[in-house]
Amino acid sequence: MGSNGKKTIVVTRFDPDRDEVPRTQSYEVPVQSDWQVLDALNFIKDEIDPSLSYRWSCRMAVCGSCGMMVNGEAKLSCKDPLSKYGDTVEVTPLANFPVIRDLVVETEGFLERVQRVKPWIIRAKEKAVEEGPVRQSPRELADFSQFSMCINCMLCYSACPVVGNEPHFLGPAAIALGHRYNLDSRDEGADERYQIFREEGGVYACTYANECSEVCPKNVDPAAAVNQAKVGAVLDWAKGLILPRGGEG
Amino acid sequence: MARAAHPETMGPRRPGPTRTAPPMMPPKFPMAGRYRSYTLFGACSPAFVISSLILLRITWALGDGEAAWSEVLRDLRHPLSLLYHGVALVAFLYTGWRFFIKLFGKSQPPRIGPFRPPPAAAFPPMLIAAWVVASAAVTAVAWGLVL
Repeated sequence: MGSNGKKTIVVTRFDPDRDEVPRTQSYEVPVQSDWQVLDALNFIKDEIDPSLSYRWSCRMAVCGSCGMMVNGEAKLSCKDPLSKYGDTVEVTPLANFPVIRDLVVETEGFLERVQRVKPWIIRAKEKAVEEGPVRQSPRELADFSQFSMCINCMLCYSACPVVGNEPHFLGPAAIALGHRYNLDSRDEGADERYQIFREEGGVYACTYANECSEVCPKNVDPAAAVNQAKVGAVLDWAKGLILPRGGEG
Repeated sequence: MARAAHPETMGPRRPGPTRTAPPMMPPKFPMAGRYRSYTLFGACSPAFVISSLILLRITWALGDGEAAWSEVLRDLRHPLSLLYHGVALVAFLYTGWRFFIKLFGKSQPPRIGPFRPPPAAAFPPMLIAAWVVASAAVTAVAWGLVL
């Protein structure tokens, strides 16, 4: 835990009351060898410049708050060792998001997308309590458990080139979440979600850059979810064409 | 320096009370880091369009008499055509490697009706085997060994 000399942390600053456009500011930080990028930002905030704004909470890659671009890569700053970078480290807000202040981005658009895919269990008819719980086997759980590990850190949105060019795109995390419920054996709402997936900006907007999966800190593999959802959406559409009453009831 | 993203990217439907700085594209897009592979993948698409048009012309010539067929064969032997087909072969191999070997396996849903697809790791050897067999069959037909 010894000192590792000094590093220059170049941080993007933006004050909506003062700045027309974002600017950069450099800070000399005496770093420890076991520090993460977040530790350097906390040092700046505590010791050099209390006006620096950024989000963080758990410091253990669980809450998903501290996502930012570090040397051009989307990272959780609490899980990104400073030691792997050179003497200068550039920290900028998450790409593809409007910036509210410094490293704080607007998350409302993301939350709207997540809500659109109906991320909850939909049942045609709820079982009465007396009928007991809806059971699920370990194998059925394994079908979707990987996609339920998402912590909503938005790194996948920040890395996706389609998100930056197609403003209506649902995006990787929201589609992965919807797909997670479609695969859940307790859920009966796949038809509704596939309808949403087939709309403009749905799953077919994805061009499989695979960057979302590369940057995902929890190995959710959203690119796999999106492309599995493409197959599911086609099969659901074909079922509606072939089966009587579109396969309903 | 990153270029600007679409101005409405990831913005809320109703703008909030605070003025925001516009979203920027990922700084390494399109030609640095892993994006290079993706950009190259997209850049291969003209080869598919051009080759499809060539295939259409060949098919058309088949029903257009011997003179038309001879003309197509002569065109295909032109040095520029040979050069193009060399480039197209590289483009097809790269596209096939990236899509079928790297990405195809994990794109399979865990279940299609009552069936489960093979594990993702099984796809590359299966697809390579299928490609070798199909290529050998086409070569055998083209060489006049069968049919």
